[in-house]
Amino acid sequence: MEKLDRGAQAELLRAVAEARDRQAFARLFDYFAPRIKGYLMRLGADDGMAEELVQESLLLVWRKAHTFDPEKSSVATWLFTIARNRRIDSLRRLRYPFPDPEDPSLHPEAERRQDEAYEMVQSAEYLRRAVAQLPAEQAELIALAFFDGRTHRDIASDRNLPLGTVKSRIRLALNRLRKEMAAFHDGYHDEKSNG
Amino acid sequence: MNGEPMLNEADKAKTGGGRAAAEKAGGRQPVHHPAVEQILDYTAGNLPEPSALAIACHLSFCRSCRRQMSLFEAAAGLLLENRDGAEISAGLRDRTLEMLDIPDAVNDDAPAARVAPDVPPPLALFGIDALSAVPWMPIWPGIGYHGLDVQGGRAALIRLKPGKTMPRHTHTGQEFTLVLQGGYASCGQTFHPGDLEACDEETDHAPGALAGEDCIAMIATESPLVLTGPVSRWFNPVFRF
Ligand SMILES: [Zn+2]
Repeated sequence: MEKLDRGAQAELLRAVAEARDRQAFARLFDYFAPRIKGYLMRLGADDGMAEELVQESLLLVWRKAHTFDPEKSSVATWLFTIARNRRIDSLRRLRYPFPDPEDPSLHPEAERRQDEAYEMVQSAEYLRRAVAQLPAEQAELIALAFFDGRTHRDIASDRNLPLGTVKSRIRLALNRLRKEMAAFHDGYHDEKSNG
Repeated sequence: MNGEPMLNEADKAKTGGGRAAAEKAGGRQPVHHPAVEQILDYTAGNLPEPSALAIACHLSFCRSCRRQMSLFEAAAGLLLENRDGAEISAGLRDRTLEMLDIPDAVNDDAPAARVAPDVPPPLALFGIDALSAVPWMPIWPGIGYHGLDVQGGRAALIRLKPGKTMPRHTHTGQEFTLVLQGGYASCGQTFHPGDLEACDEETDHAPGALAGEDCIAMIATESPLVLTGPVSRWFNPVFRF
């Protein structure tokens, strides 16, 4: 599949937001539509439903491009959350609330300042490396949760693993991501400085 | 499940650690959180409606759990990029391009509902916009009840007069209690607004409201409560929420 690096993705989205650039939109479509469709079908949508949700998600990208904040997330993550919410909304017809990223009450000024460094780090290439370096068994858990719709209890029973093992792997994965970011934020690696 | 979420030392240094610092910074942060695996289940969209509602409400209070959520989302976004996609039908792209300027081509998410500051925004989806306007049904002296219309389990708001104790009960599955106003004590711990208590089948508890103001909490469970105390035969018919 075509490679489109993270900087290029953000540039294209900016062109969509600022210049209503259809060409840029078409390139984002080509890159993300198959991935989102794969995600939706894996979770049980049939071909027609998956394409309908892909189309809705991409139309929301066009409509909401101005709300994307490259300091806060990658284009892939942003688009992924749009597709996830769309799927839950339309497919399951449940009211499954997610925090509204545009709700100002969730981002009081103090919190913004405090989180600024955090969010920049999150958007950094750094996190990509951290995810790439997750041990396979930990990355797999995250993938099973998001792409196969399995709860941690499902995963434990599918894999015949004690519940405690699944929980501790999830914990380890999160801790590792968090630690990478903390290390980046502080400008050093605790591991290195601790010897 | 109880106490601090996993903060490593660097995080602690930055946030000053938990409640004291949050209070200094102007807003109290919850001290009782969902477990990390429950945040993952929620973030991936895999929870039944009652549990999802409880965690969503906690998140609207809790900066630390929102961070965990965005870390999981970020990881999922990156993993998604590396996965194989599915082939898109010829013409879908062009049809989508043609729809770009049609205003009603896609139902946008409803604009965020206006709610009173004491109501977590997710509760607006269930018709609650101010705690002062909840139509309480008295089910026992000192206890008010308002059922929420959820699928896949039960959820309700409960109001306890100060010092009042909930009927003793156990659960056949997961139960979440989220404090919205006042506070209560349960199993030797106290819970204040934003705090989430997660109980499972092993817990047999009877939360008691703290002195001072009424305690209002949301209870969400994937299965009916089982009342175990002497009042249970009175409660069971009404309390099947
Ligand atoms: Zn929390």
